[in-house]
Amino acid sequence: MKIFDLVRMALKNLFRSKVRTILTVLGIVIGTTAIVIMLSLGIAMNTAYKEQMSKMGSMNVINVHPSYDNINTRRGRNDVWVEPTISQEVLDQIALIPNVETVTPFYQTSVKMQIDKYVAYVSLTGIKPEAMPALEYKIAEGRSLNPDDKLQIVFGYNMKEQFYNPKSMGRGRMIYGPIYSNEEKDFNFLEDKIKMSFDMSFGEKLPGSQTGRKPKVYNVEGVGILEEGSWETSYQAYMNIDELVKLHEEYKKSQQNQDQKNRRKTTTEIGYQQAKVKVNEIRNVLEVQEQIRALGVNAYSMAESLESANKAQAVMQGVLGGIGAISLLVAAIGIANTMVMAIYERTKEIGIMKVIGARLKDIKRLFLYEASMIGLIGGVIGIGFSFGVSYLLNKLGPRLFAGGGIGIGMGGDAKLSIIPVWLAVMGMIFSAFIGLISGFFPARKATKISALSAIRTE
Amino acid sequence: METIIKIENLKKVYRMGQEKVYALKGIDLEIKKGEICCLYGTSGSGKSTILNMVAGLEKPTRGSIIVKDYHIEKLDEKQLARFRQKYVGFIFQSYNLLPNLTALENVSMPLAFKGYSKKAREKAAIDMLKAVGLGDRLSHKPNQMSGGQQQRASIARAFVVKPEIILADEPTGNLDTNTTIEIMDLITDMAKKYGQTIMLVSHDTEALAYSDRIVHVKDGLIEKIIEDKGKYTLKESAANA
Repeated sequence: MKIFDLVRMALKNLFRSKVRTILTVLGIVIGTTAIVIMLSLGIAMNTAYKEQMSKMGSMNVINVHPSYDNINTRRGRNDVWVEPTISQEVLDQIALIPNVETVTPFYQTSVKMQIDKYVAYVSLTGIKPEAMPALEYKIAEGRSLNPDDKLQIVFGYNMKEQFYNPKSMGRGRMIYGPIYSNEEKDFNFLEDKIKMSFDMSFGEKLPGSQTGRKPKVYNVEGVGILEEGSWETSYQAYMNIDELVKLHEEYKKSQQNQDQKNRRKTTTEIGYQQAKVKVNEIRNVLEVQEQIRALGVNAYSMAESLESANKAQAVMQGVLGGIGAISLLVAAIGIANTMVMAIYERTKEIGIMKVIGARLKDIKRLFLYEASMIGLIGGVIGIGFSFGVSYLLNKLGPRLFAGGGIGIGMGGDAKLSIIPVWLAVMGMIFSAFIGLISGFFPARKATKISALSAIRTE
Repeated sequence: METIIKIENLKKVYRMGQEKVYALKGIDLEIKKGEICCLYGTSGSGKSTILNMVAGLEKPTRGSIIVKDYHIEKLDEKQLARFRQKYVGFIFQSYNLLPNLTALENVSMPLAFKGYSKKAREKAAIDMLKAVGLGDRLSHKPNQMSGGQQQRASIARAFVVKPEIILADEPTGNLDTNTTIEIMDLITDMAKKYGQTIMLVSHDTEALAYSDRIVHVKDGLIEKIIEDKGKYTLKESAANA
């Protein structure tokens, strides 16, 4: 018998017992929706997390921070707060660990910059110029830092947003105000003259008002702009660490009064708030990280958090998928039940078909097709339904789960449920397959019906 | 004339709990190609069992049935299905049309199993339905037709694949005398036209007049075989019974 004829016959048979077919299909719709929605939640979480991760930086970089455990031993005698730092000695030791490619300390300062009529509070980081390519700081415009650069600066992608015109705005509005306006700022980091000072009053209406001294101003030069990338780099400016440390130390000295100078002897020892370690390959990251921790500093990496997150998410996916799978299993039993019922009902019909020339495989296929059609129809409707549910979840979900701590929504427009094309297609195929499997036993049963006893059934 | 069905020492024993029921006690019969052979007997004589065994619907306990070159008793379910599709058309007492299909669909069904296209099988089915006088009942469902009409549709279904052998199990059992004559005329005319062999089971005396040979079956054995073609007229057969 031709497949097309069998399909038509199967459809006709399904149509004959509409209510039963609809109810069975409904079971599959619910099962498919459950499994697809559950998986879509997991996928959305994964996607959001990965997006977040990639914004935070590259995978084979370890961030090193000073340990706060030893804080007591580093306190001054008079309980003056000394911020813990990473010493050069530790950095040298890290550099000796196998598989470490580069170590660069980060020296973070805040400065005020002025370009034309615009000023900005800038978070200026000192970095080793030669480490920039290693840490994958990609340049969009201009060039990266050279080792012999001094007052040259590379700006993060979004730095322009930080600049504002103090004259066009109220003084009270600081960088977190609505200054991220779309207003065109007609300056260019690479061409215009840039002035920089450690004194925060620089560039304001009354410069030097805080200390009474005229702020020391450096003329710096913008040489490059970074590509749009992670959050970490977008709102930073970078400068040669040696020069920055030198300038900052000078500034600090100039700010200290005699009293403070006496107390803080340790300041001659330069420490860093942060360092980054580039490891040659991702698979070595965790091992290197352990060794760095053994030196008494904190170390964390994307690789580590991603690994634990992956484990957690695999479990989560399994649980979610499992819940969906149970409802689909129940639906599958529903199909099998419907088919067995149909066979009892159609015993005579099957017998007649056998006598008038139906092959066994025709009868088997007829029931298999009916079962898989229930599965497929349920699957298709279920997928459609899932898209609807997914849409609603994404629309209403963030409100529903606001502050729910599920770890979503951190990316702003992160979705609660994502149904990729493969999931939709797989869902349909899978439900048809479930139907096929559920139909297998009943179909075999149908072929075993004795034609004789079937036609005797009156 | 070549032999198309050869039955040798056919026995059938049913087991009813502890008891054994001997339905057939050793039947030997040869049927020639183109013959119209009637198995005649009371109900319970075993005549229907013989027919079912020729169609492969029942397995003999002992003995052999050779149809064409096939040993029916040795074929498995799959081969039997194939055999029936190829050589056998079946007519039942209770018509056994599929209730949810129209006359046209019912008659097309055996062709669908053979893999004919919709167009080809509908054409053949319409021709056949016209031949049995149901040209105006194509889209009627069985419950919209009279018994005679249903049996005509069922005859059309049996003949539509042009099988070499037609097995008819009390085809007129549910019909009145006039309709019986119509139906028997129809079956025998069609069989003659296509050179088909008919094996008929009946206890209707009317049917005997159409047969070339009447095999009287009693208690699982052949009682007598009346060979003379045309010996029975309708009246005589009635008198004989």
